[in-house]
Amino acid sequence: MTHRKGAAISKRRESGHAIHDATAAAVTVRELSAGYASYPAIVDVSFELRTGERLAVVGPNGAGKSTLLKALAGLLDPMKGKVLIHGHGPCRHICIAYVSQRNALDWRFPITLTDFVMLGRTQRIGPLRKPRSQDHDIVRASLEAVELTAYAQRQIETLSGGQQQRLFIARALAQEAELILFDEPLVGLDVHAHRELLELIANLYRRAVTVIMSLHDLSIAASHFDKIILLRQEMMGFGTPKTVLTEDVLRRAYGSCLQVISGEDGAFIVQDTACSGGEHADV
Amino acid sequence: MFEWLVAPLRFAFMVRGLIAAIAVGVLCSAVGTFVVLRGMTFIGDALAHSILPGLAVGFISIGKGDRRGLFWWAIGTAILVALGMGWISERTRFREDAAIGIVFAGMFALGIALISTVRGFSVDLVHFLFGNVLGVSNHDLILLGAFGGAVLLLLFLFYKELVLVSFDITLARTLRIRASFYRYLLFVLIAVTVVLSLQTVGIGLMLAMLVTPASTAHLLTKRLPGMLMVGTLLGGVAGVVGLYLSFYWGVASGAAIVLVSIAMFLLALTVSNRHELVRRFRRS
Repeated sequence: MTHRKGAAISKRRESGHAIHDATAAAVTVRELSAGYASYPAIVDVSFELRTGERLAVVGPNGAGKSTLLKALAGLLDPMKGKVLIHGHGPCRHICIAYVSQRNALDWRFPITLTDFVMLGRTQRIGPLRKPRSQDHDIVRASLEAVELTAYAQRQIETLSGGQQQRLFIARALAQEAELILFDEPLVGLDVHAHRELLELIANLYRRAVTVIMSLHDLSIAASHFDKIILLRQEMMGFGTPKTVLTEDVLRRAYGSCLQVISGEDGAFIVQDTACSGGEHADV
Repeated sequence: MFEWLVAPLRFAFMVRGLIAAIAVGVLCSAVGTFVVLRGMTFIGDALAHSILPGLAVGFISIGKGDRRGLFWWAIGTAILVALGMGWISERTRFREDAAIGIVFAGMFALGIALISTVRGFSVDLVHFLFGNVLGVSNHDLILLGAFGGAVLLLLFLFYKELVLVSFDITLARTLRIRASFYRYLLFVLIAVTVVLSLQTVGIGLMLAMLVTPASTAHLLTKRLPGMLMVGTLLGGVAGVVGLYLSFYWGVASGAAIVLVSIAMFLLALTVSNRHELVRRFRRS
């Protein structure tokens, strides 16, 4: 009886902090179908990522980009297939940071940047406990890493869109995330903020953090990411930008209303603007 | 001046009224902070009406017995209703306010239906919904102290988690924190607060205290701990000032407290608007 009880406790502890399987890939997705209310938004998606790789998730509106990210975060149960993060199901990890679209939050909420980043440590602080000095140090260092120290005591509403994205990254750092999922972080940001954000993510790469980001701009996907997955409910392509962004694959994914331009090194630079007519809500 | 302050305290009902007004002010403002930030101010009104069927059933079963037993029927119903509201908004794609509205409508109608079958209990029920801060008994104060203390303690202990689920429930889920548990806890804390306040100070004052001091504090502060502290302080002060005005000017006590807290809100609005104007002016 005692033995059984002990096993239950250790299992519970594991469920919060699954030990990473060193031999497993950072992300393994096998024949994944997921969606809402028996309607699958993505069907039969399979791919694998190594630790530290950066993956761009692209595809037309309604292609299932957000659904894939939610399934990877463990926010949505697969209808079929499997998601493994470092060898375990996503719900057993606390090292996955999910950055939702910015408008999903109420930015008028009365918390400062420091408070916001500290929220990422809630699980590590534990229930009934207050942040220790170590937690404060980590929060300070995380804000420093994204160059927001000067605004640490400001209310979060006072930030620009680009600064808000950097704040999310600081929170992911404070969470000690090893996989960060960004849902369309570039929407509504100017070119300068794009560059800032992508540079920061390049730094994360050096820290051996795996990054998965959904985005619309295929030329950014080609220039800043190791791998690309092209979705249109099904997986239309996965691999390095060169192998995925071919005219043939792109025409299948986006249909005919698409501009395909030959770029340097034979790669295609493509504008995803023509199909604005039949826009669907992003699921 | 001293005599002016002390004179009302010679009456036991004024002392009890002051204690009740301060306690309700503090409790409602603390819980109200979360209510205001989550945009669910409608919940106070909804809960107050949703307990009607519980009161009706309680009234029938108690009969001519001790009417104080109605409190337990009210609080039991309120907790069930709160859990029901939480469950509907979790299981469906509705926003919280829709879930609150559905339960509100259903329970209120059920209450009216029950009441219409039995004669002669409208008077006691009306008294329950429109409690009077100057008619508070020692028994009421004990309940207020015990349950109110428990609510504040839980709010303090789980502050970090309650803030997290109120601000960003998706983050709570990816951190594998039991988000639903804390959401239900918050609903239950609100329900207990509403019933306690309802029977001590009545529905009008309860609604005002749940929303106004927290909103005033929101105008004046930029951090949650500050908002909680300023809000509870304003809630307590409004109770005291309101009761003194009521004593000397002969205004209805509940209305006086509400008007004082509204006056504070308007004052804060003017002050914060002026700050905003000055800031804009400097920027341009």
